[in-house]
Amino acid sequence: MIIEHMGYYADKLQQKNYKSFYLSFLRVAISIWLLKEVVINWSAMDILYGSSTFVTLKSNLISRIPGGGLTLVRTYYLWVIEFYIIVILLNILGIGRWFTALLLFLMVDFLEKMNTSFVNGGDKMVRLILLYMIFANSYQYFVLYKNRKEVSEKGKLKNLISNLAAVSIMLQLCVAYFGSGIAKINDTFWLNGEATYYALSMERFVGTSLNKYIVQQKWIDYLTNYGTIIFELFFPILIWIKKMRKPLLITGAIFHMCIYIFMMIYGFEIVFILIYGLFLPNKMLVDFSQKIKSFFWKEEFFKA
Amino acid sequence: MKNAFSKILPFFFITGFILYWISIFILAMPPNVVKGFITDRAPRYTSLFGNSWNFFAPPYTYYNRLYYIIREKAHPNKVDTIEVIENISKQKQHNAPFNQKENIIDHLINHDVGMIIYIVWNDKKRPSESEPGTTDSTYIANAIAAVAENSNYLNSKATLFSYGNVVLKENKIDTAGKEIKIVITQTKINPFKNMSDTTSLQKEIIFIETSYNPIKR
Repeated sequence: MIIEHMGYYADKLQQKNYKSFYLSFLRVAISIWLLKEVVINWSAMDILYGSSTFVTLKSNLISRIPGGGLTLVRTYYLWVIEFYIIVILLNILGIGRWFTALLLFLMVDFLEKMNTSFVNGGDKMVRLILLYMIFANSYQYFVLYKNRKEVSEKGKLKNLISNLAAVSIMLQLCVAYFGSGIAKINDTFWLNGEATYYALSMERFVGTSLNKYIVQQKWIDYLTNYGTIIFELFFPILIWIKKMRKPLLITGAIFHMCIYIFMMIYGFEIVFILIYGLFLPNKMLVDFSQKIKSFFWKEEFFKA
Repeated sequence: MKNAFSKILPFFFITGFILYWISIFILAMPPNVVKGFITDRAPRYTSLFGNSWNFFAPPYTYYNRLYYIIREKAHPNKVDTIEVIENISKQKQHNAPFNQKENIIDHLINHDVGMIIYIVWNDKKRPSESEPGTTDSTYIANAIAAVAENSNYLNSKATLFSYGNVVLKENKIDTAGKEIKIVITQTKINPFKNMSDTTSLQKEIIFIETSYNPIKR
């Protein structure tokens, strides 16, 4: 029975790359996100990775580089960053394919280990997305040059691996939500409906001057508190039901945008929203991109 | 032979995929027997792939404060005090959404402040109003002495002392003949039940107080 089921899915997953469009989009989007992080962190790069950092590195592979390796890396950190930018650009253009994807994952992992204090949930998620992207075929769109189509056994296997990678990214999001939901129902503050009051009161996360008025409204505190728990616990289950998909994705996008605005947690929210596209059907996304393309490329547009 | 191999291979991938996701799901859950087993047997696997995603669970229910206290060696009564966390938070709020530099400092400092508090007070009763006498320097000094050799504690302490040098430079404080110490305090956020009572001030409690260290120049 189990073997039969596995056989069915093994066949199905080998037929085609079901997420070819969004995987390509995600490769470009995550690379641009990484580039954006470099740009906005540029003025503080020396504090993060350079020799003038005040951070004492925790014991890890980087801190244990023999022969004063860490000092050397910190002295020439700009070379590392420049190489990192080149790898990101290569990944955007799809040059080097899987090798570049692997290199980018290793670079992100290296930079996160260079300053573990600065790593947040969004960075952890990006690192895992990049890990799964090594196995994904994200090179059917948005590339400088295209490979010829493979229909051999090898091509089928590539489809299987790519589809498993796409499912892995979706599962990673579900696990993050569900794990967070479970942690919340094990916490007294969340169970009593008080947690968002404390989270929005925390001065580090007071994103707007409205926060202090919002938290004083108990009904908002209860609504956001229990709403968050329900969303995090049920998203991973209901998202696989076709009818529930769109309302859940719209709710999720609103949820993350609220955290973005009211709690000043920026990069993290964008990364989570970016994954949402994988839950949409490939055909719908391709048709949508064609519409955008034809809008910008139609003759009237240029004549006007 | 080649055909048989290509038929078996997808099953291997799918089995590996299922096993991997079962382990990742378990690692994302609260502490349990299986999670403990995986973490003990494969710590590297856990740190590479396993994450606990407990965003704001539990939420912060207090404000941390980090004070640098600087005194002259020759005149120990001449003291300068600088608090940094409140200042960083205000700058972060003021410059939002273009506040990445403040965001970076906020992350770096709060990470190590939180780490030190966790290491020192994790398995002990914290000094609190309900336990009179627990806030005294001796009690705190003993708690710190118990973790004095902990490498994570030493790293975080070193980071905060290094940041102290940055703060002194920013505040243009002459460091000649002076020494510095760190004090970390916590003030509770007004409890949910009394949220509208703006008159009740929560007491600021000292959690960490180091000894004076010479200032590196």
